[in-house]
Amino acid sequence: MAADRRVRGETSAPPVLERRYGAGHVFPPRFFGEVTSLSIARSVSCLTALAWIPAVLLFAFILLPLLRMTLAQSPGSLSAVAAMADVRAAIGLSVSTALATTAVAAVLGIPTAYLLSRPAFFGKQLLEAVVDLPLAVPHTVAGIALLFVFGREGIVGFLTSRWLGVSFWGTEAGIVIGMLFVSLPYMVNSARAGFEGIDPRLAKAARTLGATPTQVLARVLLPLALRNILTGMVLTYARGIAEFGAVVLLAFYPMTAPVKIYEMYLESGLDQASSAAVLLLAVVLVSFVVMRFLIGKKRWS
Amino acid sequence: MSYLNIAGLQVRLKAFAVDVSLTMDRHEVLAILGPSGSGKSVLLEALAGFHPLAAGTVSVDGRRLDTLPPEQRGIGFVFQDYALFPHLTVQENVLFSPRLRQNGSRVPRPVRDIMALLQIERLAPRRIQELSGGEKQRVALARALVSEPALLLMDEPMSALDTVIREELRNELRDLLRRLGTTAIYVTHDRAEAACLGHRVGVLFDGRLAQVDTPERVFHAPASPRVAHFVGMTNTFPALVTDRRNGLVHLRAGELYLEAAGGDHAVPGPKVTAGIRPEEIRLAPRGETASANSVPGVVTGVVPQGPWVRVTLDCGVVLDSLVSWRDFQLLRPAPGQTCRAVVEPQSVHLMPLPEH
Repeated sequence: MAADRRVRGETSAPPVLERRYGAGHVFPPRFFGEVTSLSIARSVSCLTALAWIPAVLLFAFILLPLLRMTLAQSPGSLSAVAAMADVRAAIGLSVSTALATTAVAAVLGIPTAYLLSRPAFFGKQLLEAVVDLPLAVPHTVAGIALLFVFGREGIVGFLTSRWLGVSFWGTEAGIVIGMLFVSLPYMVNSARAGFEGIDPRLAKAARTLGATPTQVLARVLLPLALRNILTGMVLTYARGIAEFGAVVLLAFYPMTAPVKIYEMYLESGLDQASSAAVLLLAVVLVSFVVMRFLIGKKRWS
Repeated sequence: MSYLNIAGLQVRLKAFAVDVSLTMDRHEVLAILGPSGSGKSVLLEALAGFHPLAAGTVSVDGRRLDTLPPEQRGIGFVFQDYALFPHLTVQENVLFSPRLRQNGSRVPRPVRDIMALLQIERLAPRRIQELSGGEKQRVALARALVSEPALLLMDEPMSALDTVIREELRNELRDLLRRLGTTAIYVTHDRAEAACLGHRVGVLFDGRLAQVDTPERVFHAPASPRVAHFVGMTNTFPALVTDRRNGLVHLRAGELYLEAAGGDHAVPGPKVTAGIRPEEIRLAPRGETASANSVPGVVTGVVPQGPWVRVTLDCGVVLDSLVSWRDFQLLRPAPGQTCRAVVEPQSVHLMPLPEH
């Protein structure tokens, strides 16, 4: 004990202090907390300043191309492209199929997310890995793979076209399949984070108050995960509307906006294609802002 | 047949088991006192239906509970961090249970009464995040009480509160539970809380009840050295019974000779553990005439303990004494000095030797 104190440069209090305050006090008093907190604060502010440099570069990297493209448009060229029936149809198709994808993703993804938020069960890690797989698969590869199942000779595609009259090759249903494959991880992971963030005792408390498991889900878990679920739906929508690779392989026609823009670029060059691109960008940004606004209102914790 | 009957309840978790039998009367509050990891929370959660029972039955008022899902047990639960619903207001939290059965905008009369009783009416429209710890505690209690549970379980509900608020709320909760006649099990690791709230106190070690008794018995006559240590009877030492005369048991522990009033407690054998609460050791000046159990000793330590001062004396056996500041000022014991430790024979408690 005493040796320990000597190592730290402390001794027993000098006799004066012993007399005044009694034995057992450590001397000198330790103030190192105050001394170093100042220098820590200084180095933190220095770090913060340094972090601004890459942050500004990053903002510029994202905003500059979008702004440059938008500012390059003349009102005339924009309105001319906006008047083209096939461009409007493509943008409309993109929005409607992305919304349909979002609905399907929610139906499949929310229960999956709930399952994955539960404590460990057999096969959980495998399921997690499978859910994340589309993030790693190149989108054209995904499109080819989907053709094997949903194409005209695919296992599912063949059966559904035979019995239900639903084909996935060159149809809206095919577009949804392509969008769904690439956007499901966003839906599941976002909703899952929502469920995982809920204190498990809230569900227990609800049970002791008389709620059945279904009531717990409806009155506690879903409302509390709602924000994350909605965020997942917005991400799914945005990812879906942006999808090119997987969609183009399943359905070149009917054309979604990204496919249409690519086609215009190949046929008429950058000018027309960029006007269509700005239109699509506007549609996406407006729907994004609207959804953000709707979600932003439900905020707690 | 008692109101609450827990017969041979067993819960087995990984590397841990709870094994409890217990009966309680209607309107009784039982405080369960135990260190962290003793299985207090597991026991409560098992009663509420969140752990499957390996064996045993639980019945309240003649009704078997252990076969029912949690929502049908009629058990109220107040959690350690309150577990209030963060997406609901105070009023919506309190109304959670009534609204499950009946929708509507009317606030039922009993709900208003409970909210008035707990003084949370003015908080009704607030969000949970805006409440202080003490307010959250009241809301959690109100929410559990509105469904008039047959049994209320409380899992360290005050452990997150400041000392001063905790002491206020403790007394308030005691009055409230007694007034409402709630049958409750209150789990805590705080000795003062257990003694204050429980009609009886149960001491839980390693998933088993070591003693269930009135606060007086648990604190003054603990059943074993381990219970003694946990309830603050810090002076325990092995002693030899040398004689029994005039209702007094004569003890020897090394060089220390003591007498214990053996009247009501049986002497477990020739070798015993003697226990003395530190508050019941009085300090006297060296020269004071030797009465019964007045033993000289050298002061080895003086440490302030908030409301008390702990003075450690070496009397052959090391004895801790908690003295008031006033007594401390009268004697001013300092390390190295000699003074006397004085103990009434009624304050010397005899227990069996510790199990090994």
